[in-house]
Amino acid sequence: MNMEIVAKLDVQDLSVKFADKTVLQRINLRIPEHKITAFIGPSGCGKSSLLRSFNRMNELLEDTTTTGRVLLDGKNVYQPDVEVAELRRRVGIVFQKPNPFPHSVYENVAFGLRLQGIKQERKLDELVESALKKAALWNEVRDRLHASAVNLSGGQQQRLVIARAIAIEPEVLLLDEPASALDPISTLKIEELMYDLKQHYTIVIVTHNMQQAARVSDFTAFLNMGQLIEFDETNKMFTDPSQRATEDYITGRFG
Amino acid sequence: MSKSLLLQRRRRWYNRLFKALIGLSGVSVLLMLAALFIYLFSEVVPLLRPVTGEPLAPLSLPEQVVTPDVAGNRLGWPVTPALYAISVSGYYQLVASSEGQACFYTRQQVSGCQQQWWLTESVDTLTSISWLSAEQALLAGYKSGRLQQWFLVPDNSGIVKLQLVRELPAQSSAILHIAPEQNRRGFATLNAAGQLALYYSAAGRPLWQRATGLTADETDIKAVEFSADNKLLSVYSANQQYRFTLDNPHPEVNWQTLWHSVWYEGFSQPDYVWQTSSASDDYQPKFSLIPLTIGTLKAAFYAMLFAAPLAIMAAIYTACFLPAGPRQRIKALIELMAAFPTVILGFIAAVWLAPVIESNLLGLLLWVLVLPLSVLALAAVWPRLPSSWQHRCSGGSEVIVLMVWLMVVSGIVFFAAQYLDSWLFTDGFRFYLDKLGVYYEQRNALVIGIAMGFAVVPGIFAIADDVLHQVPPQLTRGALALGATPWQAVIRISLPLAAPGLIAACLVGFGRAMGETMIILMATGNSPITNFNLFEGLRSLTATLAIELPEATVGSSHFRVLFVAALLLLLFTFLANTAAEIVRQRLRKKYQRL
Repeated sequence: MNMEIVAKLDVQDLSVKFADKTVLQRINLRIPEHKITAFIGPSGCGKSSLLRSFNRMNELLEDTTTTGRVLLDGKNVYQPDVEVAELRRRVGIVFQKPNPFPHSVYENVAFGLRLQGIKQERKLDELVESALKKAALWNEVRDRLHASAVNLSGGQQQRLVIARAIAIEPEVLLLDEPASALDPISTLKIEELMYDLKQHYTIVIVTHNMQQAARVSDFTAFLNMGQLIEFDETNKMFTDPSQRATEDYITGRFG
Repeated sequence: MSKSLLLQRRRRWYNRLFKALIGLSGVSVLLMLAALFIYLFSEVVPLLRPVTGEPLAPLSLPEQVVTPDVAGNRLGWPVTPALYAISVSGYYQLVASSEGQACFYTRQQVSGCQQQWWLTESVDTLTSISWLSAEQALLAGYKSGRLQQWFLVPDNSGIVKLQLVRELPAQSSAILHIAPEQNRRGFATLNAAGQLALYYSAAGRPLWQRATGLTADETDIKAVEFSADNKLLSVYSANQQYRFTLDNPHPEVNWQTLWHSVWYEGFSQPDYVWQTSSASDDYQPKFSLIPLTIGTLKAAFYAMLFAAPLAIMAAIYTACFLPAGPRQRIKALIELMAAFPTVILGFIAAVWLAPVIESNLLGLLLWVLVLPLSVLALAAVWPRLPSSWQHRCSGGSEVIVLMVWLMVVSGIVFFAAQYLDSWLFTDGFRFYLDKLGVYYEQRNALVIGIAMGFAVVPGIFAIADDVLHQVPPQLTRGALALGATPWQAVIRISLPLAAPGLIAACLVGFGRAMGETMIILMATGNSPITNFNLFEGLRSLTATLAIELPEATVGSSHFRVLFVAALLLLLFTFLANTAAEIVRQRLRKKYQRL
C-alpha cells in the first residue's frame, strides 16, 4: 500500500456494538484525502456502521457503544469536547434513500447554509446555485427552485440531497449506497458527479455494486462479519486480491 | 366424513353469528348516538314552534255594563286626562291626555305627579295605555299604529321614572286595546282594523297576528282580556264574547332573547343576562346564552393558555430528546394524570388553590414574568461556567440543575413578593387592583386555568407526543447530518412538520376543556358574567346544566333552554374533535408521502 498518501481519516482499533451485538471489531484503516474510497462487503458486514461512525451518526441509534478512535486530520472525533454538530458539518453524509425535506428545492439546499448563519439573500442564492451546479442538478431545477422537493424524481432527489450536503462545503463526503435505489441513468449521473467532486472532497462510498466500486473508486476496503478483510488500491483489489475471501466475494462466490 | 362436514357447517354458522353480533353492536352504538341527538332535539323543538291561535265560537253575553277605566282628574295636574292605567296591585298609576301628555304617580302620592312629561314628541293621538303584569312596564298605543314600551327605571336619586325602552314596529291602524298576559310579560293588541297581535315584552316583532273580522269602531269593543292561564284571549263587545285559543307555551325564548342583548325590566340598559329563577313569583326569566357560551370559552381559553405550552413542551421533550425507555415511562405517567378524578382537582382548586392564589397574587404574576427570564439567564451563564462543571452536569443531569435553579428562583420570587406587596402598595396588591377597577373574585378564571389546565394536559400531551414522534426519522437525521444541533432539528424540521398535529392536539384539549364540568362547577363561583377578566369567575354551559337541570320544571321554557345549552355544548365539542381528527388524518397522509 502506498504510504505517501495523506490520510484524511485515520481509524484506529474501532469497535462498535449495538446493544450486545458487535458489528465492528477493531478496525484499522486510513482513508486517503481527495480520493474515492469504496467499502464493499456482504449485507450486515458493518460497512454502513463504519461509515456512520466517521461523523458519529451511529449515536442516533439507541444503545450503541463505540470504542477506539477515528482521527479526522489527526484529532479524535470521539473526544468529549468535540462539537458533534460541527463534526457533521465537516463530514457530510448522504443516505441510501433520498430524504429531501418537505420544503422547496431552494430551501433544501439553503438549509445547511442557514444553519451556518448565512442570511443575506444574494449570498444564499449564489451558494445554492453553485451547489446545485456541482451536483449536476441546476439545469433540471432552475425553473422550479421554489417548487416542493418532494415532487422531484428519485434520481433528482438523490442529487438534491448531495447538493444539500456539499453546499456547506464539508471536507469529507460519506455516501451510503447512494445509487442503490436509482435507475441506471441516474446511477450513471451520480457516478459522474463523484468524479467531479473528488477534486475538492474526500469521498467514502458504501456500495453493493461491484462494478460501481471498480468504476468509481481509487481505493477499496472489503469487510466481512465486522472485520476489515482487505484494504488496497481498487485496481489491485479487483485484479489481484491478497485474501481468498475477497476473491470469492468479488467473483460472486458468496455475498 | 359427514362428521367433519357437520363441524365445518357448524363453524360457518358460528362465524356468521359472530359477524352479525359484532355488526349489530357497532350499529347500535351509532343508533344510540343518533337517539341522543334526536332526544335533545325533540326537547328543543317546542321552542321553535310558532305561536298558533284559533277562534272559537263567540258566546253571547247578557247585556252588561263593562266599566272602562275612567280617568279621574288628577289632583294638581292641570290637564284633562283621557286615558287611565293602573297596575295590578294598584300601586302605580298613570293618567294621560289624548295628546300624549302624561302624569305618573303612586298610590302614596295624594296629589301631583312623580313624573309629568309627554309620551310622544310627534303629533299623535294616544289611544290606549296599559301596565304589563309585575308592574315594571307600561305600554302606549297610538292612533297612527305606533306602540311604545316604557320601563320603570330608578334614576340617580332612587326615584323610579318611566323611560322609553323601545318603539315596537308600528301597526297599520290605531291601537285601540292593549291586554297584558297574566303573570307573564306578554300582551295582546287589537287595532282599528280588527287585527289581533300577540307580543312578548323582550321581543320586538309580534309572535302571532290574526285578522278577526271585527271591523269595530272605537266604541263597539269594550275590552280585551286574557284568561288566567293565558290560553284564551277574549274580545268583549257589548253583548258578545269572541274567543281565541292560543298555544304560546314559550314566549320568553326565541333567537333574540337567547343571543342578543335584551332590555329587561328593571335594567337601565340592554344586557346579556342569564337569570333563570328568583324568589319572587312575578319574576321575568332571562335566558341569554351569551354569558354561558362566553364563560365556557373563557374557561377553556385560560385552561389552554396554561396547558398547551406545558403539554407541547413536555411532548417535544419526550418525543424528540428522550430514548425509548424513559419516554414510555414518562408517557405512562402523564397519561395516568388523565385518570385523576376531576372532582378531586376541583375540590383542591376551590379549597386550597384559590385562597393560596389570592394571598400570593403578586408573587404569582411576578413568577410568570420572572421564570422564563431566569431560564434565559441560566442559559446565558451556562457557557461561561468552568468546563469541568459543564461536564459533570451533562448527559441528562442538566435537567436537575435547571429544576434546582427554578425552585430557587421561585422561592425568591414568592418570598420577595410578600415584602413587595406591603412595600409597593399601601393596602396590598388586591386593594390596588380594586382601585384600578379590576374586580377580583377568589374563585376566578385564573384558578380554573390552572386546575382545568392540569386536567387537559394529558390529552394534549398524548397527541402531541404521537405526532412529533411520527415525524419521519430520516428527516431529522438529514438535518442532523447537515450539522444541525438536536434543538435546531426540532425547531426547523419536526415542529413545522408536526404543527398541524399540534394544533389538532390543542383542539382536542379545547374540546375536553369545554366539556369539563366538575372543576368549573367547584372552583368558579358560577357567576354568569360576560367578560374575559382573568380575575373574575364565570359560569359555563356544563356547570349550568349540572346546577339547573335538576331544579327545572320538566317541559318549562327553562328546561328546554337547558337542552339548547346541552346541544350547543355537544356542537362545540363535536366541532373541535372533528376538526382535530381531520387535521390528523391529513397529517398522517402527509407523513406517508415523505
